[in-house]
Amino acid sequence: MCAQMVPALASGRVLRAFAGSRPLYQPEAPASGDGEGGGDTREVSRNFAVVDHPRLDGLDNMYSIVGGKLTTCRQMAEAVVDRLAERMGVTEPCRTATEVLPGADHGPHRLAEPLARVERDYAYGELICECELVTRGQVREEVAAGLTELEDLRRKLRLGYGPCQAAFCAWRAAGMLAEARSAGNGSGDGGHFQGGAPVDQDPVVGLERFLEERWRGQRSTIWGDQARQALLNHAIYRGTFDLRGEGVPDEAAAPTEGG
Amino acid sequence: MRADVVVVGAGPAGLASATRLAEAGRQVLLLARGNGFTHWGAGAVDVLGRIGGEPVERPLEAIDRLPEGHPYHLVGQDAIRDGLAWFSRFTEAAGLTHAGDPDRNRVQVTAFGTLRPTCLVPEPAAGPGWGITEPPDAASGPPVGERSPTTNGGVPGRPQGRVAVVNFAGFRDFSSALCADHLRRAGIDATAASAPLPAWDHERYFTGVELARAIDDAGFRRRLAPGLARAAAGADVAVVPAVLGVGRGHEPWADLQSLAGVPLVEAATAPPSIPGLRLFAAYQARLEALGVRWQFGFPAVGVERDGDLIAAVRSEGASRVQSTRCQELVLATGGVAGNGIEANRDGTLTEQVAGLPVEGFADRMAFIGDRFLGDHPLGAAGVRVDAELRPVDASGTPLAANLRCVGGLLAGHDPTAEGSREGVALATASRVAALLAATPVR
Repeated sequence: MCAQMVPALASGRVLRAFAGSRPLYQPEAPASGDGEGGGDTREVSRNFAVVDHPRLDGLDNMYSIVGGKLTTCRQMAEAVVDRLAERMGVTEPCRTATEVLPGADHGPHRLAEPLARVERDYAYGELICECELVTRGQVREEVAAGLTELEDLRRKLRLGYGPCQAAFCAWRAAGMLAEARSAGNGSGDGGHFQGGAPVDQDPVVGLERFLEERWRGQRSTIWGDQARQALLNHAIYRGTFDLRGEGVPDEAAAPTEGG
Repeated sequence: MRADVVVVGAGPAGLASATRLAEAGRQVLLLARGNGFTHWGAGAVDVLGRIGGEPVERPLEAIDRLPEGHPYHLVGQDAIRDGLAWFSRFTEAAGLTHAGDPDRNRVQVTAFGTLRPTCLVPEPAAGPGWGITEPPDAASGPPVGERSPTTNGGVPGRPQGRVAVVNFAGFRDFSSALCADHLRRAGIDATAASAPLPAWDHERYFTGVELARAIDDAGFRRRLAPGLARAAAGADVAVVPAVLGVGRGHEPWADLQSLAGVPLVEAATAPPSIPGLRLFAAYQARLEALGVRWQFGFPAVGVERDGDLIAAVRSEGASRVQSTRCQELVLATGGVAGNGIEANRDGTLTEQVAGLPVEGFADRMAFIGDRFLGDHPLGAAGVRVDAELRPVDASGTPLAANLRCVGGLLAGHDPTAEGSREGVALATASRVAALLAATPVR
């Protein structure tokens, strides 16, 4: 359907497929159409709304904030809190637009800081993940800060999100985790993973779990170039490294979740 | 343009076929889109590593257990033996001697500390005396993880004695901690260490190929050896990433282990495969010596037919498609992984050069399995051929009398899942060379 709107998508390289549900708000059901519930949901606004229960329902002390999405969450909070402040007689000006969220002033999403780090220390910039430009220094810092799983590194640094879908970065990062753990063992600290996993957990099993999780989102987009990529990845991990996924239970590999 | 035989593809099957056909006296033109699996693989010769996921001990005997239509059944055991024997002679003459026995699989140490089943390995990956089989010490044969670290327990290639896993400081594609950790889980006495690199041109960071080129230099090796020896102190053998030289065969490996005073074993390392680059260079030199013409970076895109014969092959040129008339055409373009076959979004498959029939799937979800590390039906997709490697239609009739298919392009085998890529390549190259050597030039 997307390719009907954007024909180039048909021959493009689709990396993954995932789905999520999005709450939409429309006070009155649409009169006609083929959507769920008898209405055409395409016409429903994607905006958010503060539902004024005192006015609509005669409930004197209740407001709802509905619709919207993570991108607009601060604006949503502002809208509903402004309404409450007005009701409660609070006159303090709203600071949402000027208050910086914790962590927003530093981190890998800011270009200047990683570039300054690379200027100070060239090895910091060595790429571990070529697709998403994740550097050795970034992985080292996150591991030192307590991340012990490839999944955590992925969410924090975008490791494995790119076109090759973890063909090269995952085993490099797994190696760095193994080095860090072995250094931790030597100094007597880091005796346990976060979350209580024992320190002698096989690093290969952690990698296998990561690969199976990544596979879930790729399964429905395997054709063309991405089919070649998938078979190359298979030839690297299964063929050259002889990983067999025996440490990954079926429920961890089962395609039950999206994303 | 004109050629006697055109070989399309420069992977394990195309390189071996072109070389053997030229040795048989044919005038060969090699057309290739780019590098093939020499650059992507483990740097060994897999003949038949696993059936149904279980390791195979005797690959040539196990062939009987393969399903009907497997390329090994089409070419027969003689072609497999001949292919492996030819490869051993060719690599030895090129300074890339291989160890191993076609009748007995061995294991190859990987960068992950796993022991992958294979058949022949380059000498730097073989281990000192690891190929000598010893009977398991208990009558029933203990499981792999419980074998004594001082013997290989009857598994050729399994590390013996005290093993130091040594990385070269700063090399991002190998982790000695990860490799040693997993070797210990298999009951091998392994420790992790790091060897400093002498001053060189890549202070910041470097690739395996850059390091291998540096190790080609005798002076660099002399400066590298003392640190390597210290890192491996007390060990019987040092397992290292497969980066010990790329342009001088196995000589840098032999020299460095002599300088360091400890046997060195190259672990199967991630792509690009440096042992594969050595092999590719050996093929390139041999093909040049045999006068084989070589067009690299120009994919074949079609054929021209003349009745039941292929009259010409069409390939991309610098500015336009060129047509090369030929007596014989050999396709060694690979399966889906090698770009010989395109997997389409609707579940169908398209052979890329001659539009040969390839059995597709009901839909694209049938291409693959639920588990990434399991098997994927797409890996076994390919072109059906007769006993003379000619592609056939649904009724088994050859589609062209002078068209042959070799290697990963063939239906009925999964090179990765069963560990048969190089074996099928060499066996079908042997067969095609025998068939076409006997064919008089029209």
